[in-house]
Amino acid sequence: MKPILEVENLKTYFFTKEGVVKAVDDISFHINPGEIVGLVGESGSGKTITGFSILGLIDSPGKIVSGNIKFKDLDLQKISAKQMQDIRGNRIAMIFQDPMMTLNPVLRIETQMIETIKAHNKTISQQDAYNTCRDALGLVGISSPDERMKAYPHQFSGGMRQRVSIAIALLNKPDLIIADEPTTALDVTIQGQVIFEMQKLCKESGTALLWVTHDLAVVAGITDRISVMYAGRIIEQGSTDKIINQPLHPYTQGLIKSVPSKNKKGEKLHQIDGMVPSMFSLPKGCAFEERCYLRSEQCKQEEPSETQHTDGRFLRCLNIGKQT
Amino acid sequence: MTQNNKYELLAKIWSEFSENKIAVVALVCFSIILFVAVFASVISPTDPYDLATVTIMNSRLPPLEEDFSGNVYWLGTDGAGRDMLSAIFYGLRISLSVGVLSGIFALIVGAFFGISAAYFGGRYETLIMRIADIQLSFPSILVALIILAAFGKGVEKTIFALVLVQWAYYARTARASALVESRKEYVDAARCLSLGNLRIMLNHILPNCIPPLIVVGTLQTAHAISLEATLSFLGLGLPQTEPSLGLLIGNGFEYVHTGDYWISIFPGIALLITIVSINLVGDQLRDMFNPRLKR
Amino acid sequence: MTVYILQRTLQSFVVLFVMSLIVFCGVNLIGDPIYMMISPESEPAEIERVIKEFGFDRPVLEQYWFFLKNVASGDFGRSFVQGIPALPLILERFPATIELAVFSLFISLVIALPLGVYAGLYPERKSSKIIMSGSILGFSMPTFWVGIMLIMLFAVKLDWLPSTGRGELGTFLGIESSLFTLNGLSHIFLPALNLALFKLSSVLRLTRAGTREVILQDYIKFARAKGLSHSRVINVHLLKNILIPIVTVIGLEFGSLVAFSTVTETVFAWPGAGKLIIDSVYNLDRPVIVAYLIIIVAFFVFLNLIVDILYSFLDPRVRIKGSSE
Repeated sequence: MKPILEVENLKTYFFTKEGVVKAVDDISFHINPGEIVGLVGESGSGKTITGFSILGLIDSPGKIVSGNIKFKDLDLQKISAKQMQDIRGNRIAMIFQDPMMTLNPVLRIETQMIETIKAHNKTISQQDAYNTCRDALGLVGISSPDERMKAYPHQFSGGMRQRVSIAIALLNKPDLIIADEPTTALDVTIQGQVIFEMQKLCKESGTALLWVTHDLAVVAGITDRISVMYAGRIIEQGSTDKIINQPLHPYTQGLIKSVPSKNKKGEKLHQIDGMVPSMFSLPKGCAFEERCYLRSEQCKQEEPSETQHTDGRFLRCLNIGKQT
Repeated sequence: MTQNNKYELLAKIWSEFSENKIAVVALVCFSIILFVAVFASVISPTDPYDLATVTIMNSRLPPLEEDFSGNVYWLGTDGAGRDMLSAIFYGLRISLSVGVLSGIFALIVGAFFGISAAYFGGRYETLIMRIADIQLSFPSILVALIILAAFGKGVEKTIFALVLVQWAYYARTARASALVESRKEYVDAARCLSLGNLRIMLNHILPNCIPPLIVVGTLQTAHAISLEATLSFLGLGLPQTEPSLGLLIGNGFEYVHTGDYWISIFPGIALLITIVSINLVGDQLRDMFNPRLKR
Repeated sequence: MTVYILQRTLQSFVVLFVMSLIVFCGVNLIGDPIYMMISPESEPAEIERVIKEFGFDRPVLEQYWFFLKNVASGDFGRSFVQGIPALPLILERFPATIELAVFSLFISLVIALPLGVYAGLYPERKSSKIIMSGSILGFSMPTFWVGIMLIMLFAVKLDWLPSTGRGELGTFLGIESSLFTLNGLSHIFLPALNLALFKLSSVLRLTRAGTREVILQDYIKFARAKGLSHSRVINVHLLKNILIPIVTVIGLEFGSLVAFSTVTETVFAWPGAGKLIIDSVYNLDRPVIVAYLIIIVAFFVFLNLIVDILYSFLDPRVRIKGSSE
């Protein structure tokens, strides 16, 4: 099965007055058709920038410095601007993080939805486009869609706005959806609903999904594979099963232990000691070294490269193979 | 503040200011203009208003042409035979004095109302700010026109009109910074100690308002100079006995169609350089004091 | 929303009332109000008659009431210079001023909006920096001087355009205007350009600032992520957002244009209300002065009112109350 998205050695740096920020520093991963992949990491780990890099939405002072991004045999960095425009919102759609600011406050919902269809289908009639949008709203569970279409974003709650964003992503039946924290800003009760709906929709239409989040609990439930990011690099990736039940990298282990759950009621909440290093002054060796219980002298000097573990997953660590 | 601190502060302000080369050039230009204005009577080649030396035989000479007694007029002469260069020097003096004077008065009045409004709050504040807002919704030239139409022409009346036009800007600015300061706890403490409202306002609140007031001051002064020139050009501002640059341009206007361009162009350029340099300095000051642009 | 409109309308009337008070007091306290109605050179008997007729020997409050009544019925007395009633005289000249102001607004928008958006989208480019420096020049140059320069260059030196007066009138859709004839256009072009240049820089700076702020917003990035064309993102998503504050400024700028037209009309001998007021102040034609002041103030008050209402209309967030948040 050929992956529909292949990211190889992607590096996206930001050249600011205060220094160079290596937001994404040599990451590689792939997504197979119809798969749901989780990209997990804390804020500042580079996961949102990864999403923007794929769609070519990195603005100055940022720049994709090196690496390959292949979508279905197309090298996304080499295609023309017009071709990229054809892909955005059409073959690859993106759901942004903050539903409050994603929709243009002065345009009606129907305008913002219909334009997405018309941008990629010049011949469709206004009525057909309208119907498709209305049906999409129904799909994501928004009642009285005809009324809602005429409304403005500020008349909606946060949860509904996010659902509109999801509906917009689904309009042109894309092959891949990049969802950046789609449920983070929602109430817990709505979260479960939206997660369920997205999973269902993707399975039904065969759309691949890249779920970007800091919330490990969410991805544990719905993804097929997980990639864990730290300080701009992927430090562990593999099947969800293995990563959740048998995390090998100390950071991943720390993340899983930190998730509050019923089983650990009454126990002190686990924290990973230390803090994420400043992106302006990353240490010479492994970025996680200071907070790691496996650390050795070598870790301070040498940056670990990505290696494949015996059970198939990929790791960035100098010491894990040695332990087992 | 100790002596050293004061110098350090000045040095810091200067280093930030001089980051913008254009602003520095503007400041130099303005200093030259200021110098000319102050020493106009000393450095002018002639006294254009000395009736004994001015003769109509010299009228409308183009720049750099000699008259029959061998004098060269660098910028030519006007319709009455006056040397343009000297007239411009004297004109600069008048334009600048009126502009700066009205600015200072407006600042005092505006700062007074703005700070007291912020300090005392309540109905008084609402009233003052309402008046200021309504006045600001009218274009400055209209306000000036109303005053001059009702009260007549003249130096004091022009200054009065200019002050009236500007006070609201100062008041609004002063109130904004005064509000921030008034809300601070030490002001409440001082009030409890009945330290005297005037003293609190002067010693504590006023110093905080000074930077933004300076910014508004420079920009408003440029505006005032421009407005005075416009009014004088229209014949409504300063009288003929106080020939500001605006009046000179007005006088030169009659000769536009006959091609004696120098009678209105040169005073205009002098006016332009004055206003532009003040604006550039003010712009840079504003960028410097704008907290949102601080890195 | 209706409550808002009612409030603002009420406020406007209060301002009008206060202004009428100021004008009345100004005339009464400063000039001799008798000479508002009649020239000081008249016969003593005439003056006596006027005093009796207009009640100048009555208490001040009664006089003010008289004044208000006259104003309400449009009676501002007769112009000293022309002998005809003041109000119709001014109203007759207003169309020329409005025509000039409208065309100026049009010119300044056509130039400033695209330049401002460009400078906002690409602030680092040299051309943008040149545009912004130019704008400082724009509002520094006094209008009257620019007018003189324009005349010198285009009318005297190059002889391309006429320098004074209004051109021929044409009719279109029932409106008479010199914009509808070629000759008219050639006459209005220079004064309109002159008037426009001053306001151009403030619209330019505003557009640029607005553009820079909006372009960084999430919803612009989202629009691009949907695959919308660059022109759609700019012309629909960006423009609609920056237009709201710009429309407000334009509304107020229009009032300013009408006020500053006094200068341009004087320089270009344009027969509008602005020139009339300048001449009247010169000639101490008091009835015309008072009439003009009251009219122009009323104009401004209602202009502000309309702009306020327009603003609440354009911003759907103000027009329609949101649900949550």
